[in-house]
Order: sequence, then C-alpha cells, then structure tokens
Amino acid sequence: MKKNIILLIVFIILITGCVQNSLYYWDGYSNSLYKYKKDPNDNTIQAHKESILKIIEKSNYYGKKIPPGVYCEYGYYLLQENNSAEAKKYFELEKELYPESEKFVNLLLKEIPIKKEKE
Amino acid sequence: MKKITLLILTTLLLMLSGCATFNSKSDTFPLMYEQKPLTILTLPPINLSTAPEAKEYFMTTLSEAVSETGYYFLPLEVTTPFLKAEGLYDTEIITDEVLPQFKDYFNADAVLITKILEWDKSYYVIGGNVTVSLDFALKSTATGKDLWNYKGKIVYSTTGDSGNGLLIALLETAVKTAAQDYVPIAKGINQKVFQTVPFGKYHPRNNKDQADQVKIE
Repeated sequence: MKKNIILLIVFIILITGCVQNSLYYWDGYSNSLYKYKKDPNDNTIQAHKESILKIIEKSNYYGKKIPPGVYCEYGYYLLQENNSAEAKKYFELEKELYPESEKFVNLLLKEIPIKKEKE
Repeated sequence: MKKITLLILTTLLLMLSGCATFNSKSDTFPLMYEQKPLTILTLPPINLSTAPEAKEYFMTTLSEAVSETGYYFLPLEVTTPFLKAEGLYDTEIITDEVLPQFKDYFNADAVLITKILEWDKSYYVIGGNVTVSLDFALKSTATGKDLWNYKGKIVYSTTGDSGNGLLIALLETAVKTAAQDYVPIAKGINQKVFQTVPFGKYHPRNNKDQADQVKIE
C-alpha cells in the first residue's frame, strides 16, 4: 500500500512537472490576433484590441506582470487611428515596464510628429 | 491491488519515456548561458510548407511562446512594418552582415529565425494527425552564431491518447471558438519546441536550469 502511495506521488509530480505554469496572463491574444490577420477589418481589430485590454486588466487583477510588447502593440494600434496622445501613453508604459524596449519605443515616438504632418 | 500497482507502474514508465531526455540544457546550448540574451526580435517566418496559412499560425502564437520562456519579445505586430520599411522583411536574404542592424534599431540581442518545412496538408479531420517539420534558430546579433536551435518533425495526434495529444486536448478546452482549430495546434507545437530554450531573465528559473534535460531530435 505504501508503495502505491509513493508511486502515486511520483506520478503526480511527473504530471505537474510536464505542465508549465504560465508567467503571464494572455486572454485570447493568439486567437484574436489570428482572426485579425486572417481577415483584417474594423470588427476583428476591435476584438483584438479588446483582448489586449483584457490582458492588461486581468494581469493587474491577478498581480501578474503585463507581458512583453503588449502596451507597445496597443499603442501602435492607437497610433494607426491617429490617437497620438493615447498612443504615447502606452509607449511610455512599455518603456517603464521593460527598459530594454527604450530604443525601439523611441523610434515609435519619433513617428508621432510625422503622422501628424500627414493629417 | 497488484493490478493497480502494475497499472501505475506502466503509466509511469510511459510518462517517463514520453518525457525522455538526453542532454542537459547547458551542454546543448552553452552560448545561451554565456551571452545571456534578453531582447529577441522575430523575423517573419519562412514558410516552405504547402500550407500558405502556416505562416500566420506561427506568427500569431510566437509572442506567447517566446515570452513565456522569460525573454523580452519585441511585439511582432509593431516590428514587422519597420522591417518592411527598412528592407529587412525578406528573412531568406538576411545575412550575418545585416545582423548588427537589428541591434541598432531594436536593441535585439538575438533574432529568431523560423522555418516551417512541412505542415501536413491532410490535416484537421477530428481524430487525425498534423505533421509539422520545423527549423528554428536563435541567432546572436553580435556574433551571428546560433545560440539555440530546434530542428525536428512533430507529429501531433488530435485524438488525445499520447502525451502530446493530452496537451493539445488541454489547450483546446481553453479555446472559446472552434474557428481557430490550428491556433491551439501551433501553440502546442511551440510549447514543445520552446521548452528546450534555457529560461531568460524574467523566468523564475533563469540561470537555474542548466541541468534540465532536453531532447533534441
């Protein structure tokens, strides 16, 4: 009987060892992005933006760090909509959370005045 | 009672062989531990398979897979237009001389080059198999050397009696809509591939996984 229990414990450890705990909360990120890439339109981009907002909201709720690039990606979509002020806010959040993104985010921030000239 | 012991032992053996491993991470990928890359830029996947959609399946699932290994993964949706603008979109023609540019523009310590060699066309019949052949490499932007790579063929059972199938079944339950049948498959494949990557800075096991065993096909 004891042997069985030991075997069971080893078994459980193996099972849990094979399943990784996730570092981040992703909501339906890959799915909504896939739908958007497959069929880019107002509905699919809105759905993808919503899933990004959910990542931010739920990560904060669960006390998890926002995944890499998520703030930046959201900011980029806002920039596409010419919402420069909001876009800037999200770019800055990315830089703050992941300082290694600074170089690239600064490139994006440089895009903002160019976008405005085009309007 | 003996029968139960036997059953558990058999399952245990099956599981052990399913997780069969051959080499430690530090022996297999020593450069990852030496160079300690942090920021990873993904170049657009090279799709040599007969399934044109395969590129999208992977592009949309890579962020999750790579970020979960503890690296800073530059957002693909934002970097890709930049690569296009700089004429660096064609991954096929990227040479070692170009690599320092990825450091200059993106502060990328390494680029992820993904080749999809095969994505079996006879796929998605419920209860069938998906066969995928991949050649993935993480290349240092400083030295041009491969820090990590994965070459192999993965046969994914969608029925759920193998260890892999179990994983897929678990992932599938997490997917709300049936329309994205391939996204969980790509996710499952990525998980199998990227579990061989030494953990990065943001992973709690960063620099603690040298002895982890990886199976390289």
